[in-house]
Amino acid sequence: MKLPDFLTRDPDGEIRLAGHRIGLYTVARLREAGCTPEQIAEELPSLTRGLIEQVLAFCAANLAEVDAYVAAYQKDLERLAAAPAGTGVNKMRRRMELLEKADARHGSEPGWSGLSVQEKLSRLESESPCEPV
Amino acid sequence: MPLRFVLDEHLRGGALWKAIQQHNSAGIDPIDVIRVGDPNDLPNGSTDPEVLRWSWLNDRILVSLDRRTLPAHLAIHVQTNGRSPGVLIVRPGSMTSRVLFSLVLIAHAGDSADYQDRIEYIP
Repeated sequence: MKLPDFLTRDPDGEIRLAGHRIGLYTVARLREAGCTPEQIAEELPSLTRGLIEQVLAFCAANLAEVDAYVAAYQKDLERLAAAPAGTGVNKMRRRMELLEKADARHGSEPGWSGLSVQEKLSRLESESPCEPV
Repeated sequence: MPLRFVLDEHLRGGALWKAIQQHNSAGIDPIDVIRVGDPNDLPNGSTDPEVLRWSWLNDRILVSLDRRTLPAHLAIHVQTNGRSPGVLIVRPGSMTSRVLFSLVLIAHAGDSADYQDRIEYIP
């Protein structure tokens, strides 16, 4: 794919908008999702409206190649995301589930919503000392 | 001390940044977040190695999206510099409230050692 000067290909193969960390993939994904240029500008406020229009015009003019790039990119992201989560994220997910259930259970109690995460976790621990939080 | 974050340029606007500001204004479990493009020494357009180096020097976990190059650059960074506070990648299509909740839990109930030198996907 021949790139105009507002798109740059890094040595690692990444195509990004010149002067930004935002890749062609990100803008193409928003375009595919049906976002208007205004919505893209709101989502990615470091891009000028003019640059967004240029990238969208490039996508439209090179549809097959851009679609192939996006599909390959998406596959790479899915492969990377399939890696097993580490201890920290597993712990975080377990706590999120516990706290969501606790919020549903205790939400109407006065003061519950004003507690910090640590205070809520301590309270859950004292309610069920055998269940790890 | 709560863990701190730096949001990638993709996440400068949009729902997550607004949700963080709203969450912090409520005053319970505020999270310390800055964005690529905010500090003078971390401009928009910085490369992956530059962002990873900045996040290491400033002890802030990088929160990113849509960057397939980060794992390889993180491996090189760790090999060269010996340490990174870690990288969190937001899964596309995730609910903003759950991403925010993940950051709050990691900041206030997380252990920095669990995230060091790793790429993790949230929520």
